[in-house]
Amino acid sequence: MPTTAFPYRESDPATCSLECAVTAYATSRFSLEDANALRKQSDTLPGNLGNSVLRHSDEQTLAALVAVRDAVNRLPTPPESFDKWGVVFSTRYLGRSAFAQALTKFAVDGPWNVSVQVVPNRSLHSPASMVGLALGCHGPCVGVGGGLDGETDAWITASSLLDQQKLPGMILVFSGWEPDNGIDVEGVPLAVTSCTALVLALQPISTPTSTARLRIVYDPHAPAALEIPAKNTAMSLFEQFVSSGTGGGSLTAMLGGGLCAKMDWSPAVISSFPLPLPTSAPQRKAA
Amino acid sequence: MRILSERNFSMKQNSVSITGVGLTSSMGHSYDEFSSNLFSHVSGIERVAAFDVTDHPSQIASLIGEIPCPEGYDESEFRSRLRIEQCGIWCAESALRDAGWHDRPDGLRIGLVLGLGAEWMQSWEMDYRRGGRRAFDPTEEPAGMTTKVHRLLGLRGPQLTISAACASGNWALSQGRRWLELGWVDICLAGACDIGVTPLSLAGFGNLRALSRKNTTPHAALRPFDRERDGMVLGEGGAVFMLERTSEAINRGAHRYAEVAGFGATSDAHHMVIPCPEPQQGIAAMKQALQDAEVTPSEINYINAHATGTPVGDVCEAKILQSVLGDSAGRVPISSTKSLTGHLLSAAAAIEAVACLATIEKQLIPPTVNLEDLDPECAMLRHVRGESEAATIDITVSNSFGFGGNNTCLVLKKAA
Repeated sequence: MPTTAFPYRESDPATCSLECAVTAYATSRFSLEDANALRKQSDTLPGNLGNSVLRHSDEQTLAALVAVRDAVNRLPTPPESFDKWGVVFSTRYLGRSAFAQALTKFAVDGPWNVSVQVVPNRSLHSPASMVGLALGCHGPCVGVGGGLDGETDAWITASSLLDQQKLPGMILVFSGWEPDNGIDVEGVPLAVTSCTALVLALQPISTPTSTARLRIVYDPHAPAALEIPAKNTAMSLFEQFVSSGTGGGSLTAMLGGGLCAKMDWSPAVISSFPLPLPTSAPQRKAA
Repeated sequence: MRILSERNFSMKQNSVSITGVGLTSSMGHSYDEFSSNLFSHVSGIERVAAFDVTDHPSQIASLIGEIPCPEGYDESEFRSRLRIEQCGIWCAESALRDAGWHDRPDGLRIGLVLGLGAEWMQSWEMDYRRGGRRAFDPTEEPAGMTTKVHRLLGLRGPQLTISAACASGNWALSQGRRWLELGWVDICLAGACDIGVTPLSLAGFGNLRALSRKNTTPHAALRPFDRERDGMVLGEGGAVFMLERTSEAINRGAHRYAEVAGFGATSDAHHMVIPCPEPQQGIAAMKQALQDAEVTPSEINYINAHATGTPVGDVCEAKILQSVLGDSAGRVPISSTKSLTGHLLSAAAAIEAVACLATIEKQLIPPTVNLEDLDPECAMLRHVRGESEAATIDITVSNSFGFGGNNTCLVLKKAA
């Protein structure tokens, strides 16, 4: 019989910490109508995947593509290609609107009218794969989280993969509807809401010209379990942080299991925030 | 018997072993039951009776029926949960018990990594079918399944839900191993679950023409590498593994199924559904995994192919295997256990890892059933078909590829 008198040891915080550089970031925010207009503007998005592809993409994917475009444009040392890069994408309730429509439609029309696009475009992996497709990434492209409690998953996965796979860079994406309102049977939000995406470009610490740092640290005193939904989302923490001023600062997010994400930002990075959101009236008109 | 070099059995400093298995599939709810049915070639594929499939293009699937309630759990509370949750709880609890960690010291940091590709869609649909409104109101159910399992089992380590479509299970094992290497956990539960046989899912995949329509012959429907293949057959279930540092597992006298020796992953960046006709990225994933495991192609004893029985995918994988194996392509035994289990989608890689563990334990290779008329484009490989084959098996390789161009490869080694 194996023993369970396990001589486990407290991990040394120094040896189980990961650190990387945050070399660029961007955000985007859209209404449902703006997102639908974006489906016809493939040529403005990375990879120019074609309007027929974007037609079936989820709104969270579209918001991410815009933020990815802006983030990669801000990279201080843009790579020749993103071939070796990876993507980690944390969505929140991806495809809920489209799936609600599908449920209603199925009840009326039966199986033959179920769209073939729901599974490929609304599964947890789909947005990561789409961003990877747009940038031509052949590194790992994975979806994480999926619910309100899923954003912690993105921090630890992106940082550990960047380190483990020796990647030159990682696109880290958070997305969701804010606020998450109820929807009707047609999938239409019952109150005003925005589809939001935050994109960080992470690179190894050796990357020059980077002043922002992300660290995943083990803290024996940090909480092992986190309450849901009391926990703040990464995006709301981020916005809280950047609105606090232009003097630099830090962001700490508890990840559970004694892990924390800590980011230090320099004024240079903050000065470029907030981004001009493409939801301004003239742009909406153009769309 | 082939004698392997010392290098293959030398334990890496950060070696990680599997010390417990929990599973549910159409071929059993325990490792022993699954293993027995695997080598008896008992297919779990049948006509779907859980809901009306009269108008579905594909009407067959590999179903698990009632998921057992773990010992010590309140049966009525367990049954009130959605089946996807029951699946995760059963698999994780069973893995804990199998590894001898059901009773454990306070403070032990147990991590949890679950591969879940469509958790929310499945939850919404299951809830909707029983009159719920979770799909329309997210405040009704804010916590995800991994969080629920983490809480219910009283785990204290970090948790993660990860998806790379049908490759999710391999990713979960890789991340669990990584957390052990980093010292983020003392031990780690890692695996994947999928209850993908729902009315909408069966219709969506069916309309995509990804599923076999051999509805009148369920057991013969899924035919990987066969000239008559016409698509995959959906399955449901899951598998969760207990991962421990090998040195610590040895110290406590734990049974070790195998070592998680290597992992590789790439992305095609080609198409959201269609596999890339060029095999380079699949080849790269396999080469990464072999390099990670310090294994050469000629040392592989068995390959569990992804092979889902789709016309395009099987040929793509055959090209990948031919390229990676090189001169060994005609020698290394290959089979697809999906021909028995069905395609468990997000959980496919996890259940195929169980098949690899059984292969190592029994020193038997399960065949690809229904492989009667080999596709000439896949004929360059050494297929195991008809009956199980006895062999010396120390190193297994399992490929799992997924929608969105996800390519993964997992190498397991016999415990030294």
